[in-house]
Amino acid sequence: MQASTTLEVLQFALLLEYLEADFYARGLGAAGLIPAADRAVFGVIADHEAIHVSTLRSLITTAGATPIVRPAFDYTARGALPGFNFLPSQYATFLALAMAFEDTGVRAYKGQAARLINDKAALSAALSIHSVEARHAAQVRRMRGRKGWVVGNSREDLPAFTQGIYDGEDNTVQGGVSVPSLPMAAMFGGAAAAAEAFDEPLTLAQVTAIITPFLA
Amino acid sequence: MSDRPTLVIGDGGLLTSLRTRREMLRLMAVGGVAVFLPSMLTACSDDNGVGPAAPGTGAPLTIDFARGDIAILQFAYALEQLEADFYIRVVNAFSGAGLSAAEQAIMVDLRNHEVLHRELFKAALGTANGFTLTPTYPGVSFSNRLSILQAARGFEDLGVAAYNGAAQYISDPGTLTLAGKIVSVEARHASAIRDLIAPNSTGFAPNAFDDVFRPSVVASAAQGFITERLTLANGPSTFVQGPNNNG
Repeated sequence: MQASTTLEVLQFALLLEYLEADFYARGLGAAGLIPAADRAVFGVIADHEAIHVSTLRSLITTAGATPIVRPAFDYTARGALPGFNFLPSQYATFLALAMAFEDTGVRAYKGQAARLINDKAALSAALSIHSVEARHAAQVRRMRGRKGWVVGNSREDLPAFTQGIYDGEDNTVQGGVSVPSLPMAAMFGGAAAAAEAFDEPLTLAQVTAIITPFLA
Repeated sequence: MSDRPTLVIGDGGLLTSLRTRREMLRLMAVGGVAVFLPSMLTACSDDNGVGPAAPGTGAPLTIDFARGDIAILQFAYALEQLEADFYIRVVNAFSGAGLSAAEQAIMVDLRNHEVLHRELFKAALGTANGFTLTPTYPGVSFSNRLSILQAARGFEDLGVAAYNGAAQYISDPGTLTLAGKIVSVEARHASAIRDLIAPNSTGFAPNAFDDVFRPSVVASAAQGFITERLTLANGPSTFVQGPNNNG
């Protein structure tokens, strides 16, 4: 039972990592897309995602299963970003997609953590990736002139079709406690800070809905 | 000596970081040297005379892991108290610290987030299981931008590794998810702080995997900033390492 749950989580994570790794590899390979000043950042993110892919593949293989095959991706999101093809003039869209993918990754891993509660090795590995995705997300958000943390349920300037990535991020009830109602909360940012201070999970179904448009 | 590997230590806070200590031990093993910059000695002079009590010299504070998830919440509460107190001090010392307006805005956000984490754990634990720590910051200068940022980096990275490592001892799925909600925000903080130290470099995420530290490793690092004598009773005997295999 746990073995099949773990495998489902690992295969799901692998799909997300395939998407990210492919996206950054294509970005780095596209002449004139990423400005010189930003290549160090995207170089390290691309490296990380490629390592996540190979690590997840070997965890799946070790567990006796076959890693899913890397699908083909459509970075126009089935036409929602018409004409996007890693062209030199499209860096703003590349950055926007990077923010969308990283913020999705954080919520996706978070949503699966409790399903690994009985598989400590998989849990440790997944969490060690989860927080790195959060580091990536903060960096990309800040490069776009945004806060490194999610504000309310705001997608910032991302297109409307990405709203599912941020829905529910404005939750401020944690462990049954209303954080803005805590004694000190009003003096320390109130409901706005309470929403920022906790990232929210997404279910497997919610993440699938978010990434399906990117599957060719 | 010029061909020996050298570790430059300009900030006393670095000495309490596990990475720096490991780096020092590695260097000593190969005949390397550690260089202490004047900035660090200046910072240490704050400890002379009538200063705050030294770390670990106060009353004992025991977190008993036999208590299960309560102990994990207490452990997290201790770390969040430390972080919240740190950023409150940073914000209160803005006038002389040389942080830019943008950096100050980040510090206010971090202060608010950490205070709210602290207050949530305080409420969850109640008076019966709560406690109040007395943080102390040997080697940290709150009037020095880089000292503040380096200390913040240490706290945030430690927080990430602490939650990542404590998660395996949580038995309630909701509590595990709650830890996940907090740890990614700590990682976002760590990323931002690291980017302030080395903008647009690879520094925001130094590894493909974050560290996963066992509670005793976290406690000994945190002890460097806590006056009370922190003890983990009935600490877990088994620990499942993360991919970095360094916890």
